[in-house]
Amino acid sequence: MKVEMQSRAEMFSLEAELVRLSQDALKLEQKVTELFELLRGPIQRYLVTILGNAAEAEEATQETFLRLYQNLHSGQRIRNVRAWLFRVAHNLAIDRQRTSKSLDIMDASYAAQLLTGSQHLGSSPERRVLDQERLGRVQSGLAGLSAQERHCMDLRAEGLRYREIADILGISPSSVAEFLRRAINKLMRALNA
Amino acid sequence: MHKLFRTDRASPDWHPTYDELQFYLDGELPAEEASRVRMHLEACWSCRVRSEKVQETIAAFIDYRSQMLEALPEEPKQLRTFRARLRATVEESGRRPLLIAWREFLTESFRTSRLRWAVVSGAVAAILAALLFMQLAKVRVASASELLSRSVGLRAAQIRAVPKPIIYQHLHVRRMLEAPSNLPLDDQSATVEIWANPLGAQVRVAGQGWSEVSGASSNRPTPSSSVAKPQSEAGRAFLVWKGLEETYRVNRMDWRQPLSAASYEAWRGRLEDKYERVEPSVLPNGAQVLKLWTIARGAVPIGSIAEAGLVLQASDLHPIGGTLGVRQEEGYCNYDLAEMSFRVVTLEALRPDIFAEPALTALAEPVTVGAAPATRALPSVSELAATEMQARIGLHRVAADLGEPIEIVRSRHEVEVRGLVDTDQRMRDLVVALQGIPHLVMKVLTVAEAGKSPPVSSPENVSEPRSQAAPGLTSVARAVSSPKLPIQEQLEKYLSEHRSTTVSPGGKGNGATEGTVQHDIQKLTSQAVTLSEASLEHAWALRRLAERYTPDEVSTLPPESRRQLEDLVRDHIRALLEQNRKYGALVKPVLFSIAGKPEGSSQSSTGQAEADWPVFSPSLFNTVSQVDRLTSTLFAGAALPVEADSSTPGAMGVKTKSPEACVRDLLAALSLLDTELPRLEKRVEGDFLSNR
Repeated sequence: MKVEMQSRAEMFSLEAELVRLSQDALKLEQKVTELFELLRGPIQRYLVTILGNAAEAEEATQETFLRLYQNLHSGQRIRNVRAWLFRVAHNLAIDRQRTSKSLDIMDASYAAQLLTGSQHLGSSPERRVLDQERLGRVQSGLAGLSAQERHCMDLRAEGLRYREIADILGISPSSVAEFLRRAINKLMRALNA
Repeated sequence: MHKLFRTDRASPDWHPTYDELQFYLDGELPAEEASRVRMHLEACWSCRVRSEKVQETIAAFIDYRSQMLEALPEEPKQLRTFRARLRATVEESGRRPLLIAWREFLTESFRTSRLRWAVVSGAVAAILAALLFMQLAKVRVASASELLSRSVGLRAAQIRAVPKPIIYQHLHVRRMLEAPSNLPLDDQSATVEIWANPLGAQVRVAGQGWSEVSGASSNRPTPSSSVAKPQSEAGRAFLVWKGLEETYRVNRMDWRQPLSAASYEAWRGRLEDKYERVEPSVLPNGAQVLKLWTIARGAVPIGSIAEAGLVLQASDLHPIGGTLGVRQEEGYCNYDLAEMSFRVVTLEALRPDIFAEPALTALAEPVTVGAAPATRALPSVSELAATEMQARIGLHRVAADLGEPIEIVRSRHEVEVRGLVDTDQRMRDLVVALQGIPHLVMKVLTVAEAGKSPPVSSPENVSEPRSQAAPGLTSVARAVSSPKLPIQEQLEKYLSEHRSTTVSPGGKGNGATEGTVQHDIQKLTSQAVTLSEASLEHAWALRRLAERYTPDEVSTLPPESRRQLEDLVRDHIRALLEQNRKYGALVKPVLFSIAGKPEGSSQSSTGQAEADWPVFSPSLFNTVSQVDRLTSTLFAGAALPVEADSSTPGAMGVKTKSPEACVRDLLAALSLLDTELPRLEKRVEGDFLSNR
């Protein structure tokens, strides 16, 4: 029952479909529900990394898709639904984010689990220790990233292209490249420290 | 950025810059440059190592990220919540703004152009027609008149086939009254049953609890304005029906058959100027339908229908739904009608006093006596099997197969969906999910409609732990209110140790304060309870499917239904696997800290995991419900179970299990699931039912 949205062609046909459906509230509702089922995962993951709280991320995810409905319903044309959703989610999250620490808290509680060995990381004990050390290094490296750098990394990890990331964050594609470069460099240094 | 380095590329000593490497790895380089970098990487070791370092870094980040996100709990009811919120949003923004707005636009255009009507009418009409075609009429299957007259003919044939015919209609009626200003939309529903003699005047209309509200006064319609606003649910539903009846009378339509082509045509045929479209459509549950819309052009008087729609089953042009937009003094009053069941029965099969006064009554004892209703030819076994499976899929789509008191009963001539739902909104979910499925009859009540009568507990549901309403809420509430859990100290110890090691290099939050540990415990326990309940819901649904579809039964299923059953089973197993994985990630570390990690893996107890469908589901269900019971014991403070052994033989003198023993049991059950669920998932890949 799961469908993956892949090609650009599919994206364009989706755009056309949405334009058509925007006239019919019931069909549009159905379509938005489908899109929610399809895309809530990535959106929610991204929101969690910003908000650092699963419940809040979930709420914001729903809010994002409700806005999708409202915008389509009012006749707005949306070319790239996925990028649009990420942009709205990003802005919602930034509005809600009261402190900039949520991310660190998220990472920190995860790090605790790493230390207690709760994750099934590798099969052998040696492997597990190695993995834990590596992940610990990533964590300390991430602590040194700026918010924008981290956003770029998370969005890229969701498979978005530079241009889409630029669109979502409201910066230029070359800044995206630059942020990613800096982020990877910082992580690389932490990993090889 | 990489363009800066273009000039250097000709030189034999050229190496891609860091930026170029990154762009190349991310697929952001133009094809020509990308192939140049690729060739260079093949040749140049040092650049290859550089690029691998980048890849390794990315890999480490991805690993970290996915593990961090995996550790997150997920609220399993999310889809349902979202659907409800979306529904509310849809309603806020107006359900059919296009039609209404468009109609007003038309009315407006005509009003303003009336002075020069003779001159401009042609042009206006042409533009409007063009607009209409651009907006709406994509596919024309048949003209509206043709469609309606065929539908009328088909129903007449149905009626002729039965001696002394009586038409029985069971309808869900929803009324949305547009409030004058920014008051909330007045949204009410009613479920009515109508028995009408198509050849005579006899009629009887019944709704839940109407005897009290309609009183013995009269059968004549009372204008709704003159009736005081009743407080009871039944009273409000009664008014919805009276309003609809009044609308049908005012518009000279047959209110005794509200959902019929004949009734629709009675209104439509008298419109001199109208816009119409017919369009084929597919309902969310896959049913093929034709939708007909008619919009009256020009102003209509108050109380008249300004626009209407009819939804007809594509196969037999039987109307299954409709809408009416009635002009009010301010705004519109919209009615949505959906058919829950329809039959043509013979008068002989009904109670003799069915048409005795009063015509408006409470819905009481079954009015059908005698044999099965003879409408059309009886559907074949495989048609009924297909209907039943469609109903299951429909219910699954709205998550109504996870423990709500809803059951599907198949008789020789139809499939019945019976049950009780919490809200009107939920009722609509079900109506939409099941609309247009052939040979299907819906007998679903809302709690309000059912009134004081206790929830119908079907025999199937009685023993189910999930049949009571919202057990999730009660146990979570229990978790919160219960001051002390059997493993309270261990949890505190674990979570506070956990905290103190948590403090990251940044030094956020100085260790564990009392409050935060309590908060963590609460969070952990309520997540554990939610997750284990979600698992139980799916295990229960699977068990029901397994009980229903024995191998013999499966062999009678048409191929399409078999495929749908496979989808259902797969869906539930995947959901189980997912919940179980999250549950394990959440509680295992804590449990290990209490009971220690078990030595080696306990593969021995897996038993006959190779057993075929549907044998595995009962045992699976037992394991999952054991997990759920232990979860409520350990994390929600339910009573500790009694020891299964008989060291104290007295009837009352059984001893309770120690919390540690419960923890060990829970870990054992989890490890059983950990090995069995993935195996199951493998087994249900592809056409697992068709292969045998």
